[in-house]
Amino acid sequence: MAPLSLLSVFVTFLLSFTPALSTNSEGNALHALRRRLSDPTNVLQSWDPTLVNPCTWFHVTCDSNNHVIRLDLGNSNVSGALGPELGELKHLQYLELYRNEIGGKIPEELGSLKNLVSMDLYENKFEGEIPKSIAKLKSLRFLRLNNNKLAGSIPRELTSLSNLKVFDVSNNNLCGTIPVDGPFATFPMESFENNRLSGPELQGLVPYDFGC
Amino acid sequence: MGASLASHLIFLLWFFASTVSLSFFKAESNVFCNEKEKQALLSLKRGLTDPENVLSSWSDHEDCCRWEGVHCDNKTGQVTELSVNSAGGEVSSSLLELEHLNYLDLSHNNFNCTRIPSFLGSMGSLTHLDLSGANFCGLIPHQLGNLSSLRYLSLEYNPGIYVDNLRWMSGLSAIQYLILSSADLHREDDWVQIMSKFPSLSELRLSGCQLNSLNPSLGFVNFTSVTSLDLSSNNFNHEIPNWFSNLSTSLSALELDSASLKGEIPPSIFNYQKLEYLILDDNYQLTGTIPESIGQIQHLRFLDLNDNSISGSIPSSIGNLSSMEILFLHHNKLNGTVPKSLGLLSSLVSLGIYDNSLTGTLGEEHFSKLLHLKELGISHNAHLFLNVNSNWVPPFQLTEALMSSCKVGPKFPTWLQTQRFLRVLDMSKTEISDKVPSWFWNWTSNIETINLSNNHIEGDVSDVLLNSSVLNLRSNQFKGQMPQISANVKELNIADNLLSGPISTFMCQKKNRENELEVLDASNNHLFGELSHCWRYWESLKHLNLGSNSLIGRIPNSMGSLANLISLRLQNNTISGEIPSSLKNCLQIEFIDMGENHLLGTIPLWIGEMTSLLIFRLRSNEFKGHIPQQICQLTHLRVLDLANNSLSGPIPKCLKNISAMAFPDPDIVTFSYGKFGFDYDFVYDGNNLMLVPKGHKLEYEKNLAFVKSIDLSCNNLNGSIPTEISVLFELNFLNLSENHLMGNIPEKFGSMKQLESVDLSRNNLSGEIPPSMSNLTFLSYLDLSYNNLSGRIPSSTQLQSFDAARYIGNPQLCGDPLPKKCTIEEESLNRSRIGKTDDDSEISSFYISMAVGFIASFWAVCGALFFNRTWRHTYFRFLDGTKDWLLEKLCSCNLSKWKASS
Repeated sequence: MAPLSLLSVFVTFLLSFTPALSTNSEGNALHALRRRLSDPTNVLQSWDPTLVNPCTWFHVTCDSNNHVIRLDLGNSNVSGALGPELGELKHLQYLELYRNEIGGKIPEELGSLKNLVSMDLYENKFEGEIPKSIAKLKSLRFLRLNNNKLAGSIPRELTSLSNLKVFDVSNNNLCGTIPVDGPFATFPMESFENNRLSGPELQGLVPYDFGC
Repeated sequence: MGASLASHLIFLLWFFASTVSLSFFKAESNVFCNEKEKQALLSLKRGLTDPENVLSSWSDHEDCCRWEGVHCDNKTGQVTELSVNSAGGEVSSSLLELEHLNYLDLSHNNFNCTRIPSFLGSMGSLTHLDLSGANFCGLIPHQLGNLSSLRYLSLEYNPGIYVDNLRWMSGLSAIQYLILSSADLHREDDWVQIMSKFPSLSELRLSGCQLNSLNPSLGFVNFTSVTSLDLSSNNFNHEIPNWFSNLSTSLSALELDSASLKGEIPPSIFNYQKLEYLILDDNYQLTGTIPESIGQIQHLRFLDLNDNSISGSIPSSIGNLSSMEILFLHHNKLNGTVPKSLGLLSSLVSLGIYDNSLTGTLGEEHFSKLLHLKELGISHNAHLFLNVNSNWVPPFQLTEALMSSCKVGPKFPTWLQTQRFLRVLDMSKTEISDKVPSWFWNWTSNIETINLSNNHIEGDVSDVLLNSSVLNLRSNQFKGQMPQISANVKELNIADNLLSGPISTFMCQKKNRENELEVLDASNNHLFGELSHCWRYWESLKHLNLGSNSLIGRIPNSMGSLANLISLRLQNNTISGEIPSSLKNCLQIEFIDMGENHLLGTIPLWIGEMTSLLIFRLRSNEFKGHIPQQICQLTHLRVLDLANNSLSGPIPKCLKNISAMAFPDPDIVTFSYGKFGFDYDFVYDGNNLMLVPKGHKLEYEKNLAFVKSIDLSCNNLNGSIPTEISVLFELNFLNLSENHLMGNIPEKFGSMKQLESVDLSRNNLSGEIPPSMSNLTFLSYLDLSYNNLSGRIPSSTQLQSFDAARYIGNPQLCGDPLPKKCTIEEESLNRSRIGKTDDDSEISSFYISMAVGFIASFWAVCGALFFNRTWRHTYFRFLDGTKDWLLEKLCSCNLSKWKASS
């Protein structure tokens, strides 16, 4: 009995401290994002790092434990680049950054957003490759990266995203072949158009990144 | 700051020199002024207005050399110096008759925004011309450039004067002191080249001259004789140019504050070894570090590097600067530990290192020789620890001690007791967990401002008499009854403590009108009883917060005597009865929160007269009747929360008139005030508000300033949602759920583009979801469940991102994210690329797997329950728990009470 009660004290201790610490780190991560972005229309003016948590910041939504679950900044005229801090938002489900002027690479650290359901980075100026780490986002249902300047091949690892329902990488500069396994069996051709893609992959016949 | 200081010094020097010389002359004078000059002066007097009688000694009968402000050559009797101050009117050209005048001071007069007389340019003997602060306007006459003997020219503090160019100035070949601050010089691009050609220029002041370039492309600028250079308060918007490395080696004052300078501070700035004043503050984008070489500027007295983005650590060589009086490093990005050598600055009066990221410990050694320190600002360095012995007797006597948000505790600092002249003590959020020492309250009686908020300070305050003007004791563990206060107290914030006892004992303690209390915040305590009838003794009250206590009874009529009231907060008590009509006297009121009480009756019609109202919250009471049209007269209203009452009738169409919700704010509204710098001016920051923006409660503090919200949920409202509501373009949160609303969602609903949260659930709304809702790109919470909506859910990244639960209970609604697929007719509606992937196979496989899953889990659960008694009991207990949780969720509006303390 004694070890059990000790354990429960320990667990209570953990429970009582973890949320406070993590909400702070989430606020810090978002504030770091604010510093990276140029914000001509002041959509981020409420992002005040002196508040105890970011839950009253506009465009940020928390769950009842004050964890950030949504970031809704679609069509908000922000520019700049994303940074590795975004990976700190462990509870994030919706990352909506579409229709802005955000450039640079898609941070590999987005692969640690284990709860992410939707990643909408479409209609921006993202460059570089689609990070393979996105394949770690097992809850992902929406992945829209269309209308950017992304290059390289579509990471084949994405075929393991069994929940993926909507996928769009059209209007980029991608090369290689299009995966056909897993959820990719259902995506329409429009999701891939206007790239340098060579067509569906022909396993064993043509190299996956043919033409890259 | 630097600019005004230096100009004061100059003024003092001049004043000293001129008074000494004038009085000296008057004692020795034995010659008389000549008649021509006397008549010229009398003619000057006739043109002047003299409201303060400064020219009363200027009369026909006297020797003009004895007149106030007139100085003659003691051999020839010719007028050589003339000072007229505190007069006005017009400057007569008769001054030209004073052919030997070399000193003319017309400063601090009021010449009614007329032009500087161009004839002054013909007074060739002038060596000193002071026209500062004389309310001249217009173009500075080029004729002034003819004054080739002029050594001193000041035109500062005439904000209406300007130049078209500065080429004429090259005639001022003897100039040593050139002071043009606040004249508009922006039309001359080559000012640097022109100013740097004066061979003897020693002091140049161009503060606030609307200059926009330091001409950084110039490699070298010949300012080699300049010892004092003031270019503050301009808008340069570029880096400090390289030519600043080659200024005079005898430079003693450099002022570049508030000049919008960017980039790194060139380390060479710290190489001028004769510097006494180095003023670089308020250039928020100025980066760089403080070099070790700063220790060689031995005469440095003022170092203002505050309000920049300077990083790195404070160099230990700073301890060499034994002349240092003002050291302002606050509001930067400094890190590392504070060097112990700081304790050697024996002349230091003011030390500002607050709002940085400094770490480590500040010990007794850091203060060892600071005998003259009066202002200590170390606040807002979260990892800085002030750690001194309990018997420490500091060498200084402070007037301001700003130690907020750094570590001072856990023990209450005893050294404070040695400080006898303290005016301001800010020790908020310093991790003190201790009892208040017995000497403390008596000791505070002469301190004007005390902030001990956000600590764990204990003590019974029942018998304490407070005397400070501002007292913030919020969020501690003070207990007992409310303390007593003297007539000096303007602000008492004792919210979030453990006080108990009847509120009336406190309110009725002062049965006279001699008190100045403006702020009383005793919210979140255990105060009880009725609101008392003593309000007429507190007419100066502006902010009153008694929320979250156990107050009962009615709102007394006498509260109407609080005519200065700006915020009235009585939320979360058990107050009953109607809102008394006497409250309509409180015409200044901006903030009303009476939520979570038992108030009843109708919403008073006179509320429309409270036109300053910004926040109106009556949530969770028992109000009946219609929402009065008069509410639409409140054009500044930002938060309207009438949720969870028994209001009936329609939503007023005129809500569109609330312009604060329709147009962007011209200025940022603030509900909280408070500074922690040396300009410490604590007002009140307790105006927070509980809102339910996205399905759960959130306490808004500073960000309340940005919120525009309407919450009318959980009432009996009927009729349709007025189409006019769509013009509230700035609305962030709209909750109309749990009413009896009918009809369509307005077609242009999507034009309210700032909407982040929309809850229309549990009404009788019908028709289609308007396609315009696809435009709501900031929408992060939507609930349309349990209505009669029909057709396809429009496509947008946001609308498909919500759970199906947000749309259920609308049997005729179809499409993503609902599992129900649309029929052909419904299909024709706005179908775009987003949400295009649901095809038959997916849907049917969904149903198949659902069926398989159902059968499997049915038997897994029921089979187990059937065969296992313990499991059966556990399962039904779990169900009970779930039911409670579900009930709580569904009837969220009926949870009328929440105690922050619980």
